[in-house]
Parts: sequence; structure tokens; C-alpha cells
Amino acid sequence: MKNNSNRRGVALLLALVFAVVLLQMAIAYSSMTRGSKPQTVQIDERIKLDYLAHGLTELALLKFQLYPADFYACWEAAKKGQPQHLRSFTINAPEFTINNFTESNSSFNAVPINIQLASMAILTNDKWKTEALFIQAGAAYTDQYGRNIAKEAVRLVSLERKLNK
Amino acid sequence: MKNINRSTGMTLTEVMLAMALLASAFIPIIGVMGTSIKATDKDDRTIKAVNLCQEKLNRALQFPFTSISVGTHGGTTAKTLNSNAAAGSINLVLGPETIDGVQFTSQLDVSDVPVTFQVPTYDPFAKGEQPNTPANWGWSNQNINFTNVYHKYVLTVTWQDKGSKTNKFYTLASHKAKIRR
Repeated sequence: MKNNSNRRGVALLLALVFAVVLLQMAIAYSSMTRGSKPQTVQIDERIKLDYLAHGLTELALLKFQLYPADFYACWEAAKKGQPQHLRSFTINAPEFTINNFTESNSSFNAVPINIQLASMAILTNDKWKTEALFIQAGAAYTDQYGRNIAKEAVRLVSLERKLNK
Repeated sequence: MKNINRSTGMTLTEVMLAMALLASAFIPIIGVMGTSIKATDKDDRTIKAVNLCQEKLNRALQFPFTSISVGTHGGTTAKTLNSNAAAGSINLVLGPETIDGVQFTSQLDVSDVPVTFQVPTYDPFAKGEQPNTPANWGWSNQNINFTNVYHKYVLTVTWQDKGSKTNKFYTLASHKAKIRR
């Protein structure tokens, strides 16, 4: 008789435990969905950075196409221990730095983006006697959580040196 | 015997109370599920807008430099841009369009970005005389201005979330230069 009377209220107790477990699951799920949003935004923003960095490689390629002789001279000077002219042509040139670009904002995320040329170099393949122009640009911003989000775009263009007649 | 049977089982009150407790525990869970369905729907629209924006900007960037004029294309009025390049013809449809029952509006803004190139120039004769001493090549920095060689492409897709009257927008921007392809 004593054992039987002890079993009273077991269903209630089980239901209570189960209810607590369910509530905890709900809280955990809610916090999970809240945490996933910044991740989604971050993925979207990386796309923006990619486009902007790629846009700057276009400008670098244009400059090279307009002034190839000056670029080759800067490159040659850098090889002979005078890199300042190449820097002046590439990474230190004011046209290759865009700060606080805000025109690719979205309704769910508005951040100023900085875009910068990272390098311009000539790659050579001695075996095949070929040359390529390597252009690298980066775009970055600091998100609302203080994280630095960055993306780089690389462009490789094969070169052919010709004498102007 | 009768007394023993009564004490071993669960009373109706007990079962009712347990069920009421469980039901009350399910209320917030159903609430969370409802919120998550709404959030998924919102995310779905955002992803569609991002994809649409990417697809259209990619297409716009494939056009030859001179094929898309400076100005606003699309928006509330539908517009199709065409280009008959050597590689084949390209079409870009801008303006309102409905995808899976949601209306998205795309607009392309093309603007000219004036550029000042900083060019370190050298003296070819000085270089010829002292090819191994770059410091003596007569360097000077020149700033050369250009217009209409570098365009900014800003593509914006706008839409509305279910039950909302405010417009949402997603924008992608890039640049295109007048380079020889």
C-alpha cells in the first residue's frame, strides 16, 4: 500500500520535466535562429566586396593599357632596387584607394566599404617565354560586431610585348 | 481490493493537469515555429533578391563599355538592354518582374567616374644611358585626368516582405573600365 501511494503524482512530475525540456528546446532554437542572421548578412556582404574589388582591378588594367612603358620602367626599377616608383604607379596611387564607399548598402545592412589595390606584378614563365600581368585588389569593412570582413579579387592577363612602329 | 486498484492508477485530475501543462509548454514552441516560418519567408525573398541582383549585374558587366549609356535604366518602367557584341547578343531585362508571386523591381544606375591617374614617368634617353641606375632615369610624377573611361554600375533590387508596406532593397555596385578586351 505504501509503495502504491508513493506513485501518486508521477504523471504530473513527468509532465513537468517534459515541459521544462520542451521550453529549453524552444529557447535554444530561438537563440539559434537569432544567431544565424548575422551569418546570412555576412555572406551577402562578401558578394559586395567581391564586385567592388573586381571593379578596381578593371581600373588597374586600364592604367596599364594606357601607360605600359611607364609600368615596365617602374617594374624594371623595382627589380634593380628602386621600388618606390612601382609603388607610386600602383598601391600608393590615389586612384587605387576608395574609402567609405556606401553606394552598395542594403536595407538590412549599411556599412562603409574600403577598397584598395593590393599589388600589380609581372609574372614570367621562362620555359614558355610568356608573361602575365597579375592584379590583386581587396575590399573590406568592419561589421556591427567589430569583425573585419575582407575579400580579395585577383586578375591575370597574358601580356605580349610589341614594338611600336 | 477496490481500494488498492484506486491507488495504483492515475486520477483523472492528474492526467488533466499533466495535459494542461504539456499544452502550455507547446504554446511558446508553436510561437517560435511561426516566427521561424516568417523569418524563412523573409530570408527566401532576400536570397531571391540577392540572386537577381547578382545575375543582372553580371549581365550588365558583360556588355561592352559603350553599350550601356550613363543614366538610370529600369526601375518602375520595364526596359530591355541589348548588345550585339562579337561574342554574341546579350539581353538585360530591368524593371518590375514577378518571381514566385513576389514582385521585384530592378534598376541599374550607370555613372561616369572621373579618374586622375598618377603616373611616374621616366626619360627614355636617361634610361638608355644608365640602364642599371634607375635613380638617374629622370623620374617625375604626372597626374593625368580622364573622363568617360571608368563607369560605376549600381544595381538595386527592391521588394516588399509579406504584410509589410515598406520597400526593402539590395544593392550591388561595381566598376567597369574602357579596356581593350
